[in-house]
Amino acid sequence: MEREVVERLAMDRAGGELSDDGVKLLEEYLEGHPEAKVWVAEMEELYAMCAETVAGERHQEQLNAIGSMDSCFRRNDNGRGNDRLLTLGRWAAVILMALGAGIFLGRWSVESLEVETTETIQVVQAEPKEGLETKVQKIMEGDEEASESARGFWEAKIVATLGAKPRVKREEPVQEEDFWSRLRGPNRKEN
Amino acid sequence: MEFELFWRQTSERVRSYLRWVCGNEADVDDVLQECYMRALRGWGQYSGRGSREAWLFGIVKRTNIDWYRRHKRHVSQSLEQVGEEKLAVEPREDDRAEGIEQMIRGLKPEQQEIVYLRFAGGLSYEEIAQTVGVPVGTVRSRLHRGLKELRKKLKVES
Repeated sequence: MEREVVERLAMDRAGGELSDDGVKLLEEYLEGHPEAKVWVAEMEELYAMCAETVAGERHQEQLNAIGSMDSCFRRNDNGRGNDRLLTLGRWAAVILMALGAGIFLGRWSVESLEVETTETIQVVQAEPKEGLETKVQKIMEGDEEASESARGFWEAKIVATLGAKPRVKREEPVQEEDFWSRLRGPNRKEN
Repeated sequence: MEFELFWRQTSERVRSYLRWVCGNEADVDDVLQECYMRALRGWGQYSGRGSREAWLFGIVKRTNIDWYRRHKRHVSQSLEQVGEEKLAVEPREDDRAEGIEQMIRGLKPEQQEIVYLRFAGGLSYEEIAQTVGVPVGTVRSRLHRGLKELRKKLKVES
């Protein structure tokens, strides 16, 4: 058997992981192989040393355990609670800032629109209103400015229409009666 | 009541394990508390598959990782605090034992994990395999390699 296999079996035996049959077989093998006994002894010593070093703290802990067990749960989780509060506080601050910025931007844009609207109204109101007749008269008199404006254009059109010669009505070509119309006759109602 | 009994049976081992894996003595109790809070919350969800100790140590592992991600303690800072407060593992009078401690801490992380779970946590191979998420053969192999490494270091030192 290889050294590594023997050592692993020794490790299992030291840790109580080897079955009873396995222990028997190992011991039988060791009886016939003295060099393997040295390997096993080394591994078991190492295992014990490691166990004592790592688990040795547990013995001290046993003495303190009973006293500290209850205190573990009685202790308030201020640390964790404070962390949560801090995180919530940060998020609340971010949300409030975002809301504030949104409100500020919204009010600013509304105010600016109102100013623009007011200005527009004022500009519109600044234009003197002219009567239609006056405008038509101006167009008739050849006022280019009046005729060039959008209103002037339509007014000019009206004037042109009024002054235009009467349209000659085109005579529509007489449509021949189709078969069904002839069949129905002039006075017969359609179903 | 069942949970309380479980807690009394296992808290000492969990604390012993945490004293090795936590960088700071001050964190051990906090992490321990959080582990059992999580275990209590998930008590009803335990499916019964595998050992309950292995289930608990899985929670302990994840809690420890989450704790350090949240708090992001720097090693230098924790070392300073360790100097001011009690050490996580008290210095022993026996220099050899202290030397072995340092050698254990010098093992590869995957070997360290098995050593701590085995000796501090008191878990069986099967339970360790369930906690770590590897086959039992891998647990044996890593533990054996860890012990061989320790032997090598001891020989070098002597």
